Amino acid sequence: MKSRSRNIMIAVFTIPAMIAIATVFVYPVIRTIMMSFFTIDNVVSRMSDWTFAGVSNYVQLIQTPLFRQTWVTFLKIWVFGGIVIMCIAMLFAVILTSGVRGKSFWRAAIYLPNIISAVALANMWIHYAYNPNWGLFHNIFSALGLESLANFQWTSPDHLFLAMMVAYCFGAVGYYMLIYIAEIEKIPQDIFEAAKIDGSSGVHSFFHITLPLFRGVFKTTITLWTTGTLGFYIWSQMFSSNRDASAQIMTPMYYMIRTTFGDMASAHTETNAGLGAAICVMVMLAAGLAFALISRIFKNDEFTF
Amino acid sequence: MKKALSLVMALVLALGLVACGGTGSSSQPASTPASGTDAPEAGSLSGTIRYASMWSETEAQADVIKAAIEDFTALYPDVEITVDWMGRDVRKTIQAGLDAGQYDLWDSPVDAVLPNYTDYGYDLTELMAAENPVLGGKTYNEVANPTLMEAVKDAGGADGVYAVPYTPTVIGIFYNKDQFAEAGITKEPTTWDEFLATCETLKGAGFTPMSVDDGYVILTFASYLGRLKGLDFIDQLVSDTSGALWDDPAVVEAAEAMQELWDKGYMSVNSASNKYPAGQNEVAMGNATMYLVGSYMLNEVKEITGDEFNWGCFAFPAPEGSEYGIEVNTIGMQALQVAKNATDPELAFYFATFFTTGEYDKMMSEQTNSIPTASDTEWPAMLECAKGVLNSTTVNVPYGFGIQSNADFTPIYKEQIQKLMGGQTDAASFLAACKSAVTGK
Repeated sequence: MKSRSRNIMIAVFTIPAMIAIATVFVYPVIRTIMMSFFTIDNVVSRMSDWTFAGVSNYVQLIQTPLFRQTWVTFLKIWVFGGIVIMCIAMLFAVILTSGVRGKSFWRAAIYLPNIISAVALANMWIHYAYNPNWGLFHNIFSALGLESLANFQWTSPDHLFLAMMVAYCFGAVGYYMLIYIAEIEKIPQDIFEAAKIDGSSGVHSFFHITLPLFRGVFKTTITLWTTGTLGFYIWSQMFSSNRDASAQIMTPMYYMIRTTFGDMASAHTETNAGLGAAICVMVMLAAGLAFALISRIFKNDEFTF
Repeated sequence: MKKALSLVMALVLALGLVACGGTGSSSQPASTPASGTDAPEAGSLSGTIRYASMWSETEAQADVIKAAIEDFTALYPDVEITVDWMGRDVRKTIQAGLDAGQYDLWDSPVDAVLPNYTDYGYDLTELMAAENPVLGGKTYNEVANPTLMEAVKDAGGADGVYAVPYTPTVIGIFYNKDQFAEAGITKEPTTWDEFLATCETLKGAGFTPMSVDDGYVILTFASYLGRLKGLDFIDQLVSDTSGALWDDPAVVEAAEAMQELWDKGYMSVNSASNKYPAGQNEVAMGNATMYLVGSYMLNEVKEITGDEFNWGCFAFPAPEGSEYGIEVNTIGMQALQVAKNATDPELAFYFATFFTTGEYDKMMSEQTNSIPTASDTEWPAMLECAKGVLNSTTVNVPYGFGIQSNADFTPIYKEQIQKLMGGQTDAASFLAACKSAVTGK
């Protein structure tokens, strides 16, 4: 009797959350999957106006060179950006936990870009750091007498991807650094002390104690990085112009938004929300695949101290 | 007891969630009908207008519209106007509102919406030809700018007229008149050869003749080729997956003309890396002389130029053997559409004409530095320079002669043309890259 009433209470208290999950998560996912098999002029079109299109949305996407290129761009961001961000974040984390002076200042300073809107950050980079006439890089390299570096055209189409990644990594490092700092601080100090007594150097301890104990947090950060990269689009949009997308830096998500809602410049372009939905499904599948791989690689690697 | 209380709480929570899913619109009566004893034409117009606006409530345009609403509802106290300030997203969401019969009037940039929403619109042809009470008995056609009306008809794609235009813009080459004078140039170029000569003179006088940035870089090549071969050709050029047209002599000529601009030193050295608005700022700061763009640019750079800057404007020059002369240009504008199933289409139309002509046309033009809509409204001094191009335009073509009609081609083309005009690639590589973008090989 008692346990039954308890179950009722559990049910009653979870119902609001369940309703919320069903309306804001389950329903949109199911609707998106359905939409991906239809041709839909406008994302708000009524279901009666949808035209069944089978898998033609998927076929069309796969046959579009620009869309295929967005996945290459995604992979480039995922691999190169991932390596750079994780390595720098790890380096900072190790330095900041090694008893360096002014630790909280550095931690706050490096994390700071995370609390500034990406739109503001991107504008700052484009117009104040990369500007070929008075930008930060131009001025610094000119002052150092490095003319060829001072005249480097950061935002020309050929270098736009590099410029975007430098700006993005700059902002993203702090976030992962905080996670790593928390993880390092979880490792009991006596392990390091014991190693030190046994004659292990700082670098040796890092590779033989810190890194092996880090597998769990790697799993977390790689998962976060993967979802973040799959949803990557604000930076692409900001580094494109106000009117048109730039091919080199287009990601699947940016392509989706452009296809579904149109660009500023795509006034004459038809939008197809079905196509956009098909991209979402692809991204969803990619995320599922990535998670499956990640949990396979990092199996049972949680340590408790 | 406690259990009952928890149940009630849970229910309240759940209800709260449902209630949160409302429309969230900020609809608010702009004015409640007063008794209207002393209004001049009280009772002559009455009813409700529900307007979905493309402006955000904080924009200068919204202030003008609000003033117009206040005035209109004071003149006609039995009229009630409600506005949803939807901002530019209106074009993404308006369809649901129209399907549900929620609005009588809505607006958007003309080529973003009109072609797709003609079916939802009310044909205004008859109303425009009839006597209009808010225009003091004149018809709308009498005060309308004929160039704009042609453009609206073209954009609608149907036989009737489906929109009331306002805040027009025109695309042309805007230039620093003082630098022209200093270099001794007295005549604006009308042909490509004259244009090159102008560039040469400017360069000789120590000026940088032209600048671009990634915002409008697509226009120059497109305008050259558009003049030369016309709209259908460009449409085919970007959509034909065989890519054969990219070998056409005219396309090669256009690409080489762009390369020539760089090779001869007519382009700003930053052309390849300029991010919008860096190119137009170069002109505004006097570091370059000419820039191909829409007339709205003058207002965008006003903070830099101040009010005294001496602007000039001419239509994109015609290369030899052009199919389209300099009377073919791109005119943009906002379009107000009356919904087909509006509760009172006439009333909505009268209000649309009220705030796009006369006093409010002037106010809009002054406060937003835009070209006035009606033919009899005075132009802001800054924009006088564009008057010649706008009024001499007889044929309106889409932005960039439609070169952006293939959304999968545009991002690649945009990068390639900026490289070409910025000296980072040559005409042959540009053509090869564009060709492979349309063929997918």
